Amino acid sequence: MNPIRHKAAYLGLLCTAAVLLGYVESMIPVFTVPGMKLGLPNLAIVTVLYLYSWREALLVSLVRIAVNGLLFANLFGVFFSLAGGLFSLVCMAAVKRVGIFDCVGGSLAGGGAHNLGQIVVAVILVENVRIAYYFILLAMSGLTAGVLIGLLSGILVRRLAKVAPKINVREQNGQMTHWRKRRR
Amino acid sequence: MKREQRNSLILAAALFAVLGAAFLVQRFLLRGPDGPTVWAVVQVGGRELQRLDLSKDVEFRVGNDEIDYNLVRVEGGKIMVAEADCADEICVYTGAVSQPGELIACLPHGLLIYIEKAGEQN
Repeated sequence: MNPIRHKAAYLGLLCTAAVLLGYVESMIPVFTVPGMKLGLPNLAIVTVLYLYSWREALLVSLVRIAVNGLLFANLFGVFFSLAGGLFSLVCMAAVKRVGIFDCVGGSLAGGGAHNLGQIVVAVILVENVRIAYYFILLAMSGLTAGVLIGLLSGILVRRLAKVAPKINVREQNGQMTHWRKRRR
Repeated sequence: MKREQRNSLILAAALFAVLGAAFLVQRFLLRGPDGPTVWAVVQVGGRELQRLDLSKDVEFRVGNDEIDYNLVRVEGGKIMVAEADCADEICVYTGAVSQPGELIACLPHGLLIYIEKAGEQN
């Protein structure tokens, strides 16, 4: 099978997973702290990030936010999750780049950064720093969820890489080459 | 255990320790003496709309009448958003608050309600 088509199929599958996880999460009611979330869609994003690279993860993340925003939220929700999602992805990619952590570390950074990004947007929106009052509790829940998501996606990455070894193929300079392990 | 796993574990433990310490500082050191009277301040986009005495029950709407509104209610010494037409209704799910520092926010409408001690006005 054409490896690029193979990869497109897998990315489509993971996009669908991200959208569905986002939908499931929107049905879970708010817990004790306002704004607290599990970050379920991040499971798909972290998996893509560690299976491929930040480019594919960015693509999946943008598609998820657009589809979820159109289907289940409004324009405000799109911009709010864009702020959290992009900042979180930047931090996860940076942690992956450093190379001394496994995907639990990446997912942790993503969870924490998501909370941080959204609190910053919230401060700008209400023009009052008092809203950061709940930040510590939010960040703690975000990090806990990050550890769990990281462990799960670690399992996923290992299994997916085994079932579909050709998944690690990238197009470079118009030529198909096998994905090389990044040098430390 | 692999080195990467151990590093992640250390990172997680360090972050939790920092946050735990910050939490304790916020809870026990940054709390002033308890005053008997508290005020609820209602702001939209950083502009103060009302300063409410929580001992008097009252109910009013913030925003337009038809769209983009929050129904604020003071009842039994607590303040809450009883009704809103924002997308996530986090403000409604937050419930009633009454302790200094606690707050209710409706980000789509830029609404912020926070509790302040009587002597704390700035």
